[in-house]
Amino acid sequence: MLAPVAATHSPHARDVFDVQCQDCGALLHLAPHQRTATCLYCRSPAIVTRPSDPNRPRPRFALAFVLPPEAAVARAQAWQRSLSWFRGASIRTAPISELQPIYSPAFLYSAVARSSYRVEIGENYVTGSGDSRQTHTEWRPLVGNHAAFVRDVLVSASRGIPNQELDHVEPYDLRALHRYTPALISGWPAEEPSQTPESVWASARAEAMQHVAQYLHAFMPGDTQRGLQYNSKLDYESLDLVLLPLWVLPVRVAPGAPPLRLLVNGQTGRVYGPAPLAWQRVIGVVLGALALLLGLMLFLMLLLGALAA
Amino acid sequence: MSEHDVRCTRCTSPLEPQDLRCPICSMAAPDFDLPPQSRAFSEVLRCDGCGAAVGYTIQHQAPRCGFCNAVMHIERPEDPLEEPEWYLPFRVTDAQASQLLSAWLATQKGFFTPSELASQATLSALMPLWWVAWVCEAEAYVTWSADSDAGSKRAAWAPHSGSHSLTFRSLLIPATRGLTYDEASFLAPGFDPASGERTPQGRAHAPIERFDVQRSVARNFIIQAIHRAAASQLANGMIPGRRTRNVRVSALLSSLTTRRLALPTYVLAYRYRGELYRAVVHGQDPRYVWGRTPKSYKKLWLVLGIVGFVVVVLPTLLTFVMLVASNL
Repeated sequence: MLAPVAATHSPHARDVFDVQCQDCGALLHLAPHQRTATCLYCRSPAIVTRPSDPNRPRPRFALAFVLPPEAAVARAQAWQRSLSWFRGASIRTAPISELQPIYSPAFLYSAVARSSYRVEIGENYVTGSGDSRQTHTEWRPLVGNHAAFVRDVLVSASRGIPNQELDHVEPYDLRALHRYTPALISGWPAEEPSQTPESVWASARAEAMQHVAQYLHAFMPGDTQRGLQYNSKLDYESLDLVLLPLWVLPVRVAPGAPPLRLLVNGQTGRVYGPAPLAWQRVIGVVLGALALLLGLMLFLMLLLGALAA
Repeated sequence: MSEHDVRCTRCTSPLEPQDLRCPICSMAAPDFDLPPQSRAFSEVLRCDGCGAAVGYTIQHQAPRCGFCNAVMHIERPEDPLEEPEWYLPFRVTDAQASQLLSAWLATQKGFFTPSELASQATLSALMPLWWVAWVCEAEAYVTWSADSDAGSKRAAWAPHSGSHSLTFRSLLIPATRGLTYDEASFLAPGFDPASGERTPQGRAHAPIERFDVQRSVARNFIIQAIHRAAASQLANGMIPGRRTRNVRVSALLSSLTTRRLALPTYVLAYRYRGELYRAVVHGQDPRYVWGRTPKSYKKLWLVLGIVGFVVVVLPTLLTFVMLVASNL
């Protein structure tokens, strides 16, 4: 049962809403990127629906959290343990138990891709026999068309989680997709899309073109191929907002530097974290090794000199 | 056509009521239009039982009330096991099936087949059953590339490409695990899909095989089967040349409709010299009978003996004779 409650614009910022908790009466502030809130005093969850805006579409689908917090922490700790000593201490010692769940917005893109291509196909043939047997390649030009559906391209709609980082924790099992309902996100932090559909089109098309390139390379006959050139057109495009479950841990590596994020797929448990090299340690080890080598050489020279004397 | 006739706006394939996206092209299903919101509002999800605010829990995959433990129902993505929709009736009786097997055994005249097979084989078991398959209708814009011997120069192969619009009508895709792929493929052309009935008729106790795949898996399987059928059609006359290899097919499917059929067949076991052999008899068309036949070991050994004689003994004898002749 959903009980709607009026929300009021806060005077201090556009798109910030004040929501009165229906259980204890406390006033909650919702920032522009927040879709849900939980009362600090009584833990009552609330879900906000904002006025219709073409730049901020409503979610059409959602994937529910499947991975419980203990499992997410265990996966992240296993990943952390796999890091070598040369990786930054900030990420190796990050407090994994502070992983936070979030329903992150993304756009689900699909289209029809029609391509015309030109390529050289290599057909192998053999001359000679025995020791003089040689394999040669005969190159033949091929021109043709290719048509396919490009499906299930996910592009991040959050400025907080760049698309490259989302790619690292994909794939999601989209067979478990739900029609969006507030019941799925009630009590869980959920983010509003901070990228507009227009700004996402370019990323989605670029990713779709990567799929087309893979299709085309796999589509070619012959024993080998070279010089593939193609021209592709995407038709019947669709873009739908979907909420994806993620466990996130921001890690600050240096004061003033942008934080790194450790991500755990809230459905499959796939982990991604940037683990930059700790250059001080690398340089220290290299210098130490050089000093050791130098010392050894010096010792040998002294030893040889003493023996010669 | 079903009462629920909603089609994908991209590929015009019919959608099931539970489909959130088109299973063929992934286009979102036409949704009910939500009224535009002119003002913001917040919602609180409340327990139907006690009225407390509730949140989603991973353990229950649904919102659960922390006070009275009530779990709220949410719409779940439906991915049920497929069930037959149509049952094709048996038109061949048990007695006919038995006679058809005898007649078929009498026609097995291969060199290695025992000559007394028809007279000595005895029927051990006869089991009428319905096995399951999908019957598809689809339009497809197919682009292809392949190697063939047409236009080859130094290499034996030359690359080719092309595109065609193909139509698939009553394409039968077996989903059975009880019959082998060869058995199902052999029987498939003889069925009359138009004769389907909503309930199994005529064989009250005949087992009905179940589709043991979920809908999402079934649809992927069907799409792959249509790609294979397209590749097969292309290789049989559309790709130039007599020999082909590396046939690659990419099909844009549209208007794909699928029916789930239960197909009547007899599975028979016959005994020949103590060994059991299996055969299948079509439940609708008596022309389709197929099975395993025993091999005559006498003939097999005879052939091996002749081959052995020709390959080993004869050259040895000839060598010996030539050696003796050269010494003389």
